[in-house]
Amino acid sequence: MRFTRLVVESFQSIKGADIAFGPGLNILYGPNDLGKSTLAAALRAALLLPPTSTEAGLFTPWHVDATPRVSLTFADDAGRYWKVNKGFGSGAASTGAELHHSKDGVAFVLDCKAREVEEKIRGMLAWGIPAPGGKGGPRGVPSSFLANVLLGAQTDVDRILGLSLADDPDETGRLRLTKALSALAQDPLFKRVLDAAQLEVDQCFSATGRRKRSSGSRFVEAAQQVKQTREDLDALQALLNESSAIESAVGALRTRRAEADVRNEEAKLALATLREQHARSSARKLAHDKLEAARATLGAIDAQASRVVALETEVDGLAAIVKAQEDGVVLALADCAAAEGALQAAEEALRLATSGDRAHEEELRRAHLAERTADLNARRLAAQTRRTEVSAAAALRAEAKRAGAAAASARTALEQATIAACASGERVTDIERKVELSRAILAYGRWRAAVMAAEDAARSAQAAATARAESGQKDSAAALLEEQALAIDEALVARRAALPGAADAAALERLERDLQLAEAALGGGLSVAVKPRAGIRIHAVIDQNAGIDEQSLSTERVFEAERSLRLSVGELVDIEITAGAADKRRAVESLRSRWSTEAIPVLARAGVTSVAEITAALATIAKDASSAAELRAQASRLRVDSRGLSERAALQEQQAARVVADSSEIDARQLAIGTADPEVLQASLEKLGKSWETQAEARHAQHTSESRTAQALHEADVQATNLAGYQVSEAEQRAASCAAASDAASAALATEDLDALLRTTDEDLASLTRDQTALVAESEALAAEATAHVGHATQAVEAATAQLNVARQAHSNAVASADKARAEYHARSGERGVLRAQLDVMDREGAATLLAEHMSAFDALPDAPAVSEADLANAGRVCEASARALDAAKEDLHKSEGALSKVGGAAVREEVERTQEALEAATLREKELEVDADAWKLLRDTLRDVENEEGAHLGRALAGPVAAKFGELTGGRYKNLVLDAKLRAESVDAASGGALGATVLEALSVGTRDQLATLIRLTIADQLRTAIVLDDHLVHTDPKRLAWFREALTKTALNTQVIIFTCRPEDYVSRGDLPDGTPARDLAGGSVRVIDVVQFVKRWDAVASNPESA
Amino acid sequence: MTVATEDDIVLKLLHTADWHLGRRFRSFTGESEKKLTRARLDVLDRILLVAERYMVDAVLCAGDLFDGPCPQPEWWQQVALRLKKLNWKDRPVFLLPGNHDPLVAESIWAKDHAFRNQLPDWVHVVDRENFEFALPNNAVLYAVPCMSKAGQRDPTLAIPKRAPGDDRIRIGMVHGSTFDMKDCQTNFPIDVDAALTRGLDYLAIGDTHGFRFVPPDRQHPPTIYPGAPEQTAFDEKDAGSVAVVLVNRQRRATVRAERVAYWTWEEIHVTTLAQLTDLSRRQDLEQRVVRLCVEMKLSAPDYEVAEDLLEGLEGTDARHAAVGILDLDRQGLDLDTSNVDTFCTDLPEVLQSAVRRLKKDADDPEKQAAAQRALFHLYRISRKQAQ
Repeated sequence: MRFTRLVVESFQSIKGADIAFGPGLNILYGPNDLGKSTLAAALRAALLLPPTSTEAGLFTPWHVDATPRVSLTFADDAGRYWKVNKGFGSGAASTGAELHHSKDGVAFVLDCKAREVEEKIRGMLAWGIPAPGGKGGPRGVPSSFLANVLLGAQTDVDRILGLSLADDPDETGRLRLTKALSALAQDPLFKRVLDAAQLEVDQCFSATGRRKRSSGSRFVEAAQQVKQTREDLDALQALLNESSAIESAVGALRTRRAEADVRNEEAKLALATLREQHARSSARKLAHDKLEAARATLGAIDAQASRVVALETEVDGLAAIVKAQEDGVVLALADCAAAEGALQAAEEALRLATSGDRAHEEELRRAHLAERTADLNARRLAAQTRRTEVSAAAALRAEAKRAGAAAASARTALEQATIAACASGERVTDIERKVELSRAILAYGRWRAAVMAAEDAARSAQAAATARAESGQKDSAAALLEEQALAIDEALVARRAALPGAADAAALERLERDLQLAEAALGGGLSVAVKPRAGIRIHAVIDQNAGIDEQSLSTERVFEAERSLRLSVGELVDIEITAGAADKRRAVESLRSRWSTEAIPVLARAGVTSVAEITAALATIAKDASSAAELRAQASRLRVDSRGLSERAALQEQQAARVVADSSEIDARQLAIGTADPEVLQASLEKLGKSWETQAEARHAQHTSESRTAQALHEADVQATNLAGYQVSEAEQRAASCAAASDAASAALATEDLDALLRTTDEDLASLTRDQTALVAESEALAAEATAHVGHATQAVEAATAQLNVARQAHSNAVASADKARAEYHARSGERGVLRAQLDVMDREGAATLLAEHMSAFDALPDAPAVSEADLANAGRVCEASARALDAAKEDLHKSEGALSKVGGAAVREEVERTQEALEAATLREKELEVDADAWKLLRDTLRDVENEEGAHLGRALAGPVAAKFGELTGGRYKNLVLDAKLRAESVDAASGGALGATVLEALSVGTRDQLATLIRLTIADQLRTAIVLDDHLVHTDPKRLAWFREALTKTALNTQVIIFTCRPEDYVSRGDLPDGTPARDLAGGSVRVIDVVQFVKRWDAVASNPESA
Repeated sequence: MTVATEDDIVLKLLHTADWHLGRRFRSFTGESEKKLTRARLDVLDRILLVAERYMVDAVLCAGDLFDGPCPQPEWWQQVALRLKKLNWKDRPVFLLPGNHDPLVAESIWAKDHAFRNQLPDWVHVVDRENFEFALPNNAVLYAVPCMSKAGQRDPTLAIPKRAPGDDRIRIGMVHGSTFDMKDCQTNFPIDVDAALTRGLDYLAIGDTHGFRFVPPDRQHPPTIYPGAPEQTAFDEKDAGSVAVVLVNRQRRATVRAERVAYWTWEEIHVTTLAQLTDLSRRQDLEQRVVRLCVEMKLSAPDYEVAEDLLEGLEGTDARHAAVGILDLDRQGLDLDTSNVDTFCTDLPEVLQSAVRRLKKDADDPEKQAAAQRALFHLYRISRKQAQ
């Protein structure tokens, strides 16, 4: 900062003053009591004192009642001009503060008023003085370390030695000093190291400290390498996962195939075993059947033989009966003959008796005996006939009994067969019920499954519709967002077209900053006095900014500028005047040239006037682009969601489509359930669990098989029953026939007790035999008497005739019985013949042999567990199922192996391993880069931290140059100046002698203290590049040191403005350099301005006390 | 094994495989990757030279000649170009599709592919399972291509068994993994006794990148992996050769490994500066692909020496690299920060202060790596700048 003009009105003793300062050393001289310190105070008040503060009352003019006014114009570090106007006091309209700004120092624009003026100025100064008012704000005349350094009052020449930044109301002064003094702390090597580190950091990091991500950045390259490799690896990994999954599936399928193979082999083995067992059991059963058949055949033959034997016995019996009957007939015939002989004998006896007595008598007695013998013989014949009849009847009865027993046995067999048939029938019914139930369960389950599938399908369809709708909504939303993003993008394209890129903008910023810095470095101030000899047209351009056009300049005109001045004299010549050292000027020219060629077109194209506007526009564009990207990202997310929903909907629709939704099929399935109780079916179904269908099918198949087996058994039982019935019928007929014959015989005998009758008959026969024997004896006895009994001869004839009739009747009866017995005999004999013929054909021996063979064959067959057809069928089904499972496993394995052949297997695995290695390498490289970049950044930051810390110890930073100058000033008399971190002077050592430094500091002379304080202030002002006001300093300095100071001040003034108020101008310039009749004089190319204050200041005492007259 | 004598030789074959043309070496960067990729092609010239030197009757290329089924034209054009330059009318070359470059539709092996059209007529692509080709001196070649990227069927099963009375020299060529190799059961498994069971006198196979004699007891007939002619990874043993097969009248085959590789791969682990110095003095590094793992903790001056040595091995913009291709793992190279400040006492106080700060940072595990590197940079720059 530097002051350009101070205008004072009605300020204490000064009525008015208007002083223009030069950019360098300003020596304002004048006699004592002229008002120099008042000017210094006015300057301080203009910068620091609020107009309404109490202290402002001190500024009241001494002689009039007027408002003290100060107007101070100054240029800030950026080259901008400011003018602060203050009217001190309160209440009056003319009081208050205003701040104006200007680019050229000519045309000012009001910037702010009142309290804002103080805020703004204090902010610009950054002297450690906070804004007035408020909490912590200073009241009255503010004070700070820098305020004292730069604007110290006359009375506080060496006060600075005791001041400290620690007493400042705020940190701004310390921070500004820290920044300014940091350069002092830099060691050259340190600087080179820092520059090298900074260079590396600049290559890696942006101005904001982020890693550079522009194209060509090593981080971007490394990150892209990592990203690309990772993406490749992810893709390969996905492929490998797929491959591994397939390999895993192949492994599992191989196991499954092996297991299925084993199960199939086991099933086949089981089936083969069952078949073998079945074959064995079938063979055994066949052998058994054959055995039984042979046995039955043999039994039939034996039965036939028995029958034949029985018939033979019967025939024999009948033959005996016939013989007996025939014997009876013969006997009856003999009896007839005997009776006829007896009759003839009786008739002879009679004739004899009639013819001779004795002879006749004897004849009679013989006749009587013959009569008795004939009677006995007849009786005996009858008895014998009866016995034959009784025997036949007994035989018939025995036959009837056997036939009855056979019929009973057949009936028992029939009953048993009937019971068995009933039982098997019941079993068939029971199994059929089970079959029906299992079928109903299966049908119910399928109906339930169909219903549930239909419900699932409906739900899936509903979900699919919902997902489709949601997908559509998301698509619409995404489209909307994409449109918005597109609109933003299109707008951005147009906006970007007019603007440079971020890198170019940054380059422009750097160029602008470099140009400002370079121009600021030029700042030494220019003053060109134009003294035209004739009226000329002058156009001046000051500091590249403002143009001043003098159409006809005829009097002297001074043009002042900070850095450059361009004067165009009419159409004759353009004069370019530039301040600063040659290298700095060249640098500025170069930068300006770059600015013209690089920046101006860009700004023009962008339609803006400053780089800041471009930066702001770029920031807006970046923000908009970010918004567009965010919109696109949202749209992308919505699209992804939408695709996910669509895919889900498609899946659900496929699921729904796969399900048979036809209600007629569901109805058909429901009808197929039948009349079974649904609750029972549901309960049964629940018991079957998840694999209900398989189990239900298996159970149904089992029941069906059992049903068929039971049916077959039942049919066999029914056939057996029918056969038994037929046998019963046969036996009963036979029994009835035998019973009828027996009954007929019994009826003929008129008794039931044939045994008793037989015994009686036998006894009768025995009795008759005894009687015959007795009769024979009697006949022999009577023979002698026969002769005597002629009378009896007639009776004998009659008796013999009757006997003959009886005998003839008995003979007829015997013949009839014999005929009947003979007929029976022939019938039975015929039957026997037929049976015997049949028996002869039957070949019992062959049957016995066959039986023996079958028995051996049967015994030869090992005993085998019974294997039913159902078992065999079940095993067959298991075998078929296992074969199907094996086929399915093979097919699945084949498919998976086919899939594996496409995805890659080992090749992909190798590629994944290589890519993984590449990723590790790329990651390592990226990490290396980052570590190296971080290392450079850490080094740079550490160096800066150290630098700041060293700089933060402001005393250490400042002490060096001050001590060096102090040593130079004092001829090396003092050393080791120590200032504390807050710049309070602590000590200084004498170059020789044993006194302690602190003692030396306190012991310094007033002049030396003044000089040390001035050196400190000048050094600070030099580092801050800001104006400093020295009011009556160095008054106790000897000429030699003053000469040194003159040179030092001149050097300092090259960098910063120094304003000296003094009453001894010769201390700073030679007398010859003082203005001669002019108010001011510029020396040394304008870097020194000597101002005769007398000519600028009007005091009240020089005019009438009436301000009106002034 | 009976070694055939030269007089007795009736059939000479060159057996190679696993060229992997077009393979990328992404673990390496920039020029190194290119060198290794190009080496796949360069080695073909040396393979063909060996074939000419031995005057072989046929060249068997047993699969994985390309890294994928559809390589970029630059690869197959170069192969075709090299083959077309030769005039081998009596020396057939057989190209077998492997599992990396299987015979699938639109692959390079497809009959309508431009590669096929550019091949001389004495170059035969094995493009069917029943491939059979009569070789000189009563010899016959049976070859079975890979027709997918993975397969579970032993390809040798497609080779007919020797018929009774067949006294021809029977050569087989397939691509896959022999049963004795771990984790390769899904990759065209080949019975180790396939040559014996199929009645082959020599079975040429490809897939494994190292030279391997498969029958464990080296019994006849030989089944050989010639390996990749140029190594593709550090863990491949005995790679870089082709097999020259000599078959005598008794149908006994003798196999010689002929090295053709340019690059030799080597893994080196150094733990001392002396070892690193020794390595830097080796003169045989130019044709080596070296994976160098540096694991040592050095003082600042030694660290600087190590960095110089590593720069010499790796090369810089201004220095040629001593190692042909260097894969440097320097994660284990640490700066000993415990005494780093003792080497900086001649530095300005402000730099010493920075050293002290960085040394403190080096104790923080999160900052350790960067702090060590920063300390080294500081040490090195300050030395250079001071000069």
